[in-house]
Amino acid sequence: MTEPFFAQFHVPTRIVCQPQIATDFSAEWAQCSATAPLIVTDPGVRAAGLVATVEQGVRAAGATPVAIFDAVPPNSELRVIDACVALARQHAADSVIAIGGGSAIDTAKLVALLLTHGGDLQADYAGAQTVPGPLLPLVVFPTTAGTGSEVTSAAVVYDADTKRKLSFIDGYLRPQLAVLDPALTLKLPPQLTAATGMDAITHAIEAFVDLPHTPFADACAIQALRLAQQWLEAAVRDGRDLDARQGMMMAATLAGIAFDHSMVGVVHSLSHAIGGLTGLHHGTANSIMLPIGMAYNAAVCGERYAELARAIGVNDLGAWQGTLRTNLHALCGLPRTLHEAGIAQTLAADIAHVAEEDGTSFYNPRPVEAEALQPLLETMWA
Amino acid sequence: MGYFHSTQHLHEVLGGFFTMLGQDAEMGPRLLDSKLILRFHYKNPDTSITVNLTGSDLQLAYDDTATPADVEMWMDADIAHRFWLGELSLPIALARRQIKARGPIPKILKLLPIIKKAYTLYPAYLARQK
Repeated sequence: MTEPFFAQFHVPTRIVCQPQIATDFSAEWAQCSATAPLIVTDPGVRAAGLVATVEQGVRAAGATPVAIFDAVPPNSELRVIDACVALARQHAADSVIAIGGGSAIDTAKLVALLLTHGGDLQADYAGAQTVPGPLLPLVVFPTTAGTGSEVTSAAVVYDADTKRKLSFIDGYLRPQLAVLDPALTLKLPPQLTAATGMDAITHAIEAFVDLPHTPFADACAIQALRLAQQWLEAAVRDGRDLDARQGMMMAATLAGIAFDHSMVGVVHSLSHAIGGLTGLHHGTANSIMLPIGMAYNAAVCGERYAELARAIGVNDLGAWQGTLRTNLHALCGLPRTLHEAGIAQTLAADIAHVAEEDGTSFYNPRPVEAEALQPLLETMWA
Repeated sequence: MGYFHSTQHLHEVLGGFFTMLGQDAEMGPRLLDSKLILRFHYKNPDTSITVNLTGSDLQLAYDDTATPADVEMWMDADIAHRFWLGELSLPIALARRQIKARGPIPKILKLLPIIKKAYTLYPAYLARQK
């Protein structure tokens, strides 16, 4: 089958970006037609005082948060969604606000889904394009610069009973409003800043070379990479650098738009496998696996890597990311290899086989085969 | 009028084609390896086909709503026809909401490389049906 060309570009999420905008987003909130939001966040974000900042903005907009759910774990679970929905119903919430990283945002997406349409998350909605219509207003405040979930149509949640992740993909899951306030990321520790930044870089690079790439998403990927190239090291070096934080927030959101349209590939196949087997942080795993994925794909999309390198003004994309990863290691200790991340070499075969089965492998420009991946993986312990 | 002029016609064409795929020496065993139960819901005409890949051979059931399926897909019957002709890809059809899918998406996508050969078999199969 020859794939017919098809391009689509749709970003229904209104995106605003400005330092301190989290304390006053009345103009944007007015379009949400909501007065009683539930806030969804995690304990670390609340302890850092970021919830109080957004609460100030919510009240300035004439709304009153009816409850705060601050128990979202790093990888959200079905039972967490259920508890959050129960709290929202108890307090008659008419909208949902997420404050946090990908886990909090994905949780909020699925809470908004159940509040709006009812039903059973797993039985009725796991899959693609299963949501029957628009959701209650969903407003997100990212507190990291990496996940891109603030603009994507996807949510992932862990099912502890079956020990597998459930995927939800639907355009209706895209938030109504994404408020990018770089001040919310000022307290992010250097290594987490580096790891989430590398997550954004991986999104941009994979979106650019994946099978469904289009000129629309390419434009976002290129600009995302340019911004990350300019600001990531600065943000890691000095977390209080607001310009760097702002640059990285824009990079992450642009990369999110890119991969929401072009998907991700083998690097994510590998990092999902590693995350499932070891619990290694997703951004850290992506950073470690990026050179492996690029080496794996080089034979089939070398020209695309070269095109991306030219677009950001470097000679060699592989060398550029290698230098960046070395510099980040020196700045904050971000692991460069699975060995440095403390992952046992005995897992190499398992990682390769689980990666082959991952859904993202379908979009990779080269078929993902465990036998071909494993020798590359072994170099991670050299 | 779409390609399928009746439910019986759809059952004969797509049911017969699925049976053929299950008997294919290359695709059959790989499909059965998935151990999935798939249900395809069609519109125009309205019907469903359940493809059971959990046993030693591929089993079909029409308008079966009792057997729990791992993966369910909803589409217009003409979209299914065009899919098997190789005229549209599943990811694009999903992105355009021409198809909706309930169940583990990775498992759905993983079947696609296995059935690549089916796109060339379907036109020849249709020609033999006439």
